[in-house]
Amino acid sequence: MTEKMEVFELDDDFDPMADVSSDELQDDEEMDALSNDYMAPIPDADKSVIPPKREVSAEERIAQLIVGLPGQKFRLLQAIDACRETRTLDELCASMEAAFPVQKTVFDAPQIVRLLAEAGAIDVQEVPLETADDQPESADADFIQVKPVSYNLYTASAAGLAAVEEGSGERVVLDMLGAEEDRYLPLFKQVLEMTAADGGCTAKELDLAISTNPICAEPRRYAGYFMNLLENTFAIQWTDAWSITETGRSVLQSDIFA
Amino acid sequence: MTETSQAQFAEALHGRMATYQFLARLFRVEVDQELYDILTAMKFPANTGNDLVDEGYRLICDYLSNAPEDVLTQLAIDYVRAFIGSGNDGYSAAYPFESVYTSPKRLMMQDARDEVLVLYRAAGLDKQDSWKEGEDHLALELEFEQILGQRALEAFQDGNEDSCFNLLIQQRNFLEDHLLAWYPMMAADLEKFPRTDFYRGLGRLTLGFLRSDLDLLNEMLVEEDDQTVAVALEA
Repeated sequence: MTEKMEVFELDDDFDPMADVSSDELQDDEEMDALSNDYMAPIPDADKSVIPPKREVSAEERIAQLIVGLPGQKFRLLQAIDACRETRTLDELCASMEAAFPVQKTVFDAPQIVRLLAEAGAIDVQEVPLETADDQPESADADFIQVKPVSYNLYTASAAGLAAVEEGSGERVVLDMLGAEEDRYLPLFKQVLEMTAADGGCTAKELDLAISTNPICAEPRRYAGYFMNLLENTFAIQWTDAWSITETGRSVLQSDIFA
Repeated sequence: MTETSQAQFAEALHGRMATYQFLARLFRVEVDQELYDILTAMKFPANTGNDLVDEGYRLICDYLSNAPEDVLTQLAIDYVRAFIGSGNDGYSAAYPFESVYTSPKRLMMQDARDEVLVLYRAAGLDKQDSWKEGEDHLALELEFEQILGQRALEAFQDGNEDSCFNLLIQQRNFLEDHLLAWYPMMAADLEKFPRTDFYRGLGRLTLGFLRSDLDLLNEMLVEEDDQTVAVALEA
């Protein structure tokens, strides 16, 4: 048996407010504030002002949109490019779906179109619907019904076309290849050739062919490095397999690999 | 009650039941393709005699007539903006819960939820497992009125007038004690938070309908000699 030790004792006289002098509690209002339910103050509430609206140019808005949706970059640019001639929404969506048939994204074609219109990349022209049975409704009609009153036509804006010129096409791929070391060019060519096969090729096939190449030994490079650069310039794309794009084909046939 | 007035009475019961069902659906979840197709095909009453109802239908109809191409997405965004909001101060949206508008700190799951839960269970109803919100959600309160209305209609068609009128009294009490006790405050918020006329119109339509339904129920139920008896609707 060990001797029982009294280590703690209950302090019934404990007063949590004892350390707060009565001078600090200046008036009843302050006491009430302490006793009421705690309400978190809003810090610097007076500084919480909505900044004035800043006008942003179409060029800037388009750039922000493209940067904000990196996975949709070439779909955005393709949609603008398709609007070189005026199109209805159905025509535009059909064009987008033909260009990018495999889409695993929450951004459907009409949403892409709306985002582009809001950014100023495409101009929207509202055309009133004129139908033969379009009779004006009398004020005392008993029922009203939903009747689409207009439809939209879409045409690429100058700012939108400038973004297409700057962000896509053979020149963008060639610029990228030109910035890389010359010794890597055969590997870029090999990726393009492999993805140009019918049905494309898998990442595993590319990895086996590229990553084992002695050129990739120092510094250590893997197939993904080359694939990323080609994908980011839209020379290749993933459509259930890695496949070459039209841009990639024209680069493959250009003089750069000669 | 003549045959004509009986038919009118049944038609009135059916009409209000259908309207409750329609409104409950619109508040329950976002508009989907199926509902959108129904909305674009249906005819909205234009001259009901209730300015709020007429204005509500007109706003909804005008919005859908001028709807953007991605209308379902826009309506879904506005549903969140109107009913869920992005703040946590209790003043960032038109929260569709009775508790929010009847509790001092605008909290959910308060006394109002307990009260309506008792009423639902007394009527033999319980929420489905798929419903994850409080029972005092506006959509459920509207659906409760719809179910009582459906039961009243069935009782009337079966010739059980006592049961029918008891159900009508229940509906009037629920309307006075619950829906009309708080929904007008939410309707005021629905003027502020949505950006589309669709949900602004829905807010006005619902307020106008609830008020006119109370008038209609009062008209159907006339107290005489301490007994509630029914009077047929005047042609």
